[in-house]
Amino acid sequence: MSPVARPAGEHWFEREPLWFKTAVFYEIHTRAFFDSSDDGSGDFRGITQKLDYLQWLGIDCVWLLPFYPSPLRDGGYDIADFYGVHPDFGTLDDFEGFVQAAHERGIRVIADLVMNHTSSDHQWFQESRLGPDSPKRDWYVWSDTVHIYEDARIIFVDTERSNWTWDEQAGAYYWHRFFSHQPDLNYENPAVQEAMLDVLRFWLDRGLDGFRLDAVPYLFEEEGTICENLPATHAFLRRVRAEVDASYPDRVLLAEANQWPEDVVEYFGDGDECHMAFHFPVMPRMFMAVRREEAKPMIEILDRTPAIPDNAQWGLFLRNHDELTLEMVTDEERDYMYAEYANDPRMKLNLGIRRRLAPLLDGGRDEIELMHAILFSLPGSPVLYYGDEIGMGDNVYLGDRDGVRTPMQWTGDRNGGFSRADFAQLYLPPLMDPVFGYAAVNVEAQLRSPTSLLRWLRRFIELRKQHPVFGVGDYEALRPENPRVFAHVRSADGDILLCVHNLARSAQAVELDLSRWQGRIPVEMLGRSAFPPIGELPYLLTLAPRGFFWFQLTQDGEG
Amino acid sequence: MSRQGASRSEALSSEELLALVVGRRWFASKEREPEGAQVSAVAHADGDLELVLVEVRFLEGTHETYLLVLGYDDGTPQDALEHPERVRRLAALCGVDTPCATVRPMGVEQSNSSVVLDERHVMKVYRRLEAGPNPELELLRVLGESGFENAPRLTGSLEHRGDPLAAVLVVVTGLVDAVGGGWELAVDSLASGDAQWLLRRARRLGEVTGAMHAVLAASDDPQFAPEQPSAESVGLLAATIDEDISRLSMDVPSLAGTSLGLRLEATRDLVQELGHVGPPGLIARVHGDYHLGQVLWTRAGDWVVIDFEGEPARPLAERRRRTSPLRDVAGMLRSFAYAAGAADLLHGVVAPEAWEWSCRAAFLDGWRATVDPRLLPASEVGFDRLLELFELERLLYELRYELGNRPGWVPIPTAGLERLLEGR
Repeated sequence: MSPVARPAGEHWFEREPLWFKTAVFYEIHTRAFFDSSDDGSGDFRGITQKLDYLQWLGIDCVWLLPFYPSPLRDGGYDIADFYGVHPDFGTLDDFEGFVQAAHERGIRVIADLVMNHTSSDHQWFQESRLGPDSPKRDWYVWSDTVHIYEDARIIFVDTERSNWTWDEQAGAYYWHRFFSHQPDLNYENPAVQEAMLDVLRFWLDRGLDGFRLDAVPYLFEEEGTICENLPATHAFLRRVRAEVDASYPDRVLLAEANQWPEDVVEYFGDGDECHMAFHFPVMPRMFMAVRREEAKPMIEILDRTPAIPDNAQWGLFLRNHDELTLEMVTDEERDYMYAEYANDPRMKLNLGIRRRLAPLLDGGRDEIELMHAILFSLPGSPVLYYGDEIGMGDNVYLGDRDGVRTPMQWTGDRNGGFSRADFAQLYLPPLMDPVFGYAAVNVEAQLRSPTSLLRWLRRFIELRKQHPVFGVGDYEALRPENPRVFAHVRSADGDILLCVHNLARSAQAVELDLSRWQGRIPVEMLGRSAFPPIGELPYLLTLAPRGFFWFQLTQDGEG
Repeated sequence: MSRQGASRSEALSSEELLALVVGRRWFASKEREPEGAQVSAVAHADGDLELVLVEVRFLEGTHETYLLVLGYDDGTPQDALEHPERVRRLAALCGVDTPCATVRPMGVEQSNSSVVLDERHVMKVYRRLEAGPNPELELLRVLGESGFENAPRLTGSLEHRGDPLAAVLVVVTGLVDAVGGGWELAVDSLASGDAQWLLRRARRLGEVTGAMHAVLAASDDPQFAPEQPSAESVGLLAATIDEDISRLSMDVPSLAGTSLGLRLEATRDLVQELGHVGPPGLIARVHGDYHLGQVLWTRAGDWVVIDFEGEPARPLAERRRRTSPLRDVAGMLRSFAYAAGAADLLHGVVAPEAWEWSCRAAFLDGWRATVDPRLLPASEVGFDRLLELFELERLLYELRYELGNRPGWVPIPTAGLERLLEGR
């Protein structure tokens, strides 16, 4: 790959500040995607070689998990140097080559960045712990007692007993909201704020299109609070946004704030904080709705979701690299989810279920399509997780979240076509079970089969992208009497789409009040068949088990 | 490029700007309703000549950027290309000093506007602008620097840098002293009963084409160095073709049950087979929109390749993508079939039975003699299959176009489809 010959930050795209509102995102674990160097670990040159595939699939933006130098005790979220690339993944030049090649294909790239904490290996922490007189002492949060900030919850309940850990060398306790090897940075210190802004600029100057900001609610602490979502945290995010807007057009800040929607919307500010935020609570409710065969959990959480600024967008996903998080559900709902989706205790992790999409749905093709249909129809931008497009499985016998981070399955050949290294050298074993293993589930085979999940999903992505209304339009739930049917309307600028999903495993009939659109002709969007025109009476539809219809409500029957 | 003086175009209203864009042949989105237009940048303004980037917005929230070259008569904006003095100054901006004693439009306006200056230069003004390097300028440079003599000589260009995008606005080349275009000459000779005209020149056309591909693959410019295709490349191509077939059947419901519809379904099985190519050879920069209309026969008695923009309907980044040169080859081979079809449909003259086959054989013979062998699939079977895949890709494009626009021409791609199926 050639060195970048253009001025830093120059783009291949016309300016399009709201590109993220209609984009399809795809999350990649660099280590897991493709190994170009035969050393058993995926790398940037490897992803670069697979860009043709991602473009073919219709991906608009790649989200990279952390790729920085790290002791890798938390999948790279324990960053030891913000300015480099982990040697397993290649060099900074490889990274820039990847970003450029992606841009040439019209694909943007955002990357995970952890602002809240560093690895305890980070030079900053090593200096900080030297003693009270260290110039970096107040870059982290130190205390002589564990009895402050006591109202803050412990997030990793499976591994951590306290948010404070004693450091022998420093002679003090340090604050950490996650693992004890991840000390929190002290954002009260202006030098820390400046250092983090420098980090952002460094990567934006290398062409990166934005960041997924990990763990943003925890930047600041304050006695007497739960130390989440504090005003000072929002003020700092506004500053970050202003810096980005001033010098870097068309970039996006995507907040990871695993909170209730009313708290998460605070991260959009008045359109002056983050551009995007994940909608965490909607995801478990999609699984709940399918298992309970009722639309209520979906409708409730969407009713509870406040409006967001015009220049903001939700990030929606079915699964990601973490456990299926159940922090944002009630205890009762959590018990239900565990009982239904994690019948083996090994599948549980912290407050969640560490499984991939296909095994969660027992490999059911109808269910997988239905879940994608709901995901794609909701207001927000869908974020796909690598491998879920071919229905990859997981390995619950691997530790922590490694079970959902196994190598991408490209072919039925050795190591699933992921690497030419010896099997024993691989960072994790590829799946080899008869149902989800690479011999049965791989890109090459699914490319050849017109009916494969991969080919279906490509068509489906194309369909969604033909209708920007999915990204920018209004959402309105219809509330039919049949509780098993989730139906809603998306509309903008005269493009009116009716989305009807049958959550039941039996065929259902539903009557919808469509009188507002009397005279319009629904055209089914996948097959483009015209349905009878809408009249005065309720519109009757029958749906196959786990079936769905998307209609365009047209004036003339022409889709 | 520096900006001098104030621009009068900045005072133009959205309606006035739209009037200058919508309705022109080069306006790409004829089927969409523009919401408004605004000047997004003035690339040049010197009192009487203005190069203006206009952003046309559509209801869906998207936009396109167009280049207007304007002069003002009595305060009214006019297309400067109709005004020799303004054209002369535009040429000078491109670094070409020519009096512009004669200025004539070159053929029909398409996605760009071309004018011939003093019967010596061809000035091509790009209308729809996209960010990034322009493939035409890139290819003309590389071909020129390598001493390739079968392409026009690059004599000037004009680029815009900065907001809202960096783009090439104008390219000037030397005028080729040609007898005519390959398409017209091939069709006319067939129509006049001279089946030998193209047949005698097909091998040379293949040689020139192969040499062009070899030169493009030999450049040490990092944007040109040939690469290994990704492992999925042929699988992705075959899957895309298969999807195209299925979508064509959906887009044209009247195909259902017809013999053509059935043949299309049969083609899907063929695609499965053609997808087994083995190592497909290196990918490299290519012409990108290659057919008889893109070559000229010169008075000196040789072929010259023109028009390196790639397919204007595709996004710019895609047109710059490396691919197998067999894609260009397939385009030219299909063009032979079209020449025979056109002689029949337009002039009622049926080409001799083996004409198309002989032209193909001669062209391929010449092409293989000059092309860089690294660009070829490893085996003969792989060569044939990959070429057929690209021909099929092209056939589907033709079929879709003819079904929608010229039903009388549908038999041409249909015959091609039949031949592919019979070859099994």
